[in-house]
Amino acid sequence: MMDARPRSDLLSTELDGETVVYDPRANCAVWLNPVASLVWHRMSGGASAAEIAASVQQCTADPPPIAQIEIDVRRLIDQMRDLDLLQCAM
Amino acid sequence: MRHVTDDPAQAALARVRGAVLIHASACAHKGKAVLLAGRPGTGKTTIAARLVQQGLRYYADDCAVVDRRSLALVGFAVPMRVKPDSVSLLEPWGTRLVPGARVGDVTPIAPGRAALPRGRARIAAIVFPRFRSAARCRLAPCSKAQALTLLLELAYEATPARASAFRALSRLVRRASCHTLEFGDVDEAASAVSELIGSG
Repeated sequence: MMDARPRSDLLSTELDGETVVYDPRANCAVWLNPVASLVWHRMSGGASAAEIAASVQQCTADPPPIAQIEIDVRRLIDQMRDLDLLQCAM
Repeated sequence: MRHVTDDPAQAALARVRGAVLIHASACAHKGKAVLLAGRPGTGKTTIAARLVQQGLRYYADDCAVVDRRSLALVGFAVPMRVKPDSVSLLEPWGTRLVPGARVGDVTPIAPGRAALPRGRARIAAIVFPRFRSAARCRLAPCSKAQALTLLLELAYEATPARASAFRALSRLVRRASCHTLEFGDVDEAASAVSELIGSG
């Protein structure tokens, strides 16, 4: 399981495969590209980094090795954490 | 997000219930409106002024008022605040714009009677202009997500009920066409924008 999930007080909407996440408290919006959107939605469901990496691999034409994808997924999750979009899972 | 200025009219508008306030100029043709959204210096006022000269109705400069429920554009026709570099581009004024005496760094330009808003207008297009000297005019679609992110950045800080505003703007970008516009010539920019709402 992930040790973090999207904060429950954030608002988000999906638009043509991309996602906008909005923090009404901080009055700040973040625009997620399709891959980041997939990561975001899988995290919301509690998927692990490995599970998310597998999902990304399935959705990518000519994907890199799964280990590389997982590294990238973890990096992306770190960025989301830096942007204060995540909360620790219970 | 932008901050509401000291302008008392804008401060008052910030308290309007049920409105989303966006840092944008706006014009309309036959009930179809275009929002020109952007920070100061992007050229939105100059394009809007040219569109008004060409026959569109003037709805807003700097602060566009969008009804949160219907997503209609509400007319807020305070005088445009045109900077010195743009004044010469807009001369001769004609009858649809009435320039006032320069105040500090801006010339207030009031809409003529024929250019005043008529009812509410449906926002058909959202454009994010960017003026660059000598740039070729380039109007390009932008993604709905990019448009929403930009609009949220351009919504006024004092817009009440931010969550509700987010949902309203989400609906707005779904129904409007969204574009970026890079331009160096105001006439080219105005032509490109007016075609979006069928007035070209």
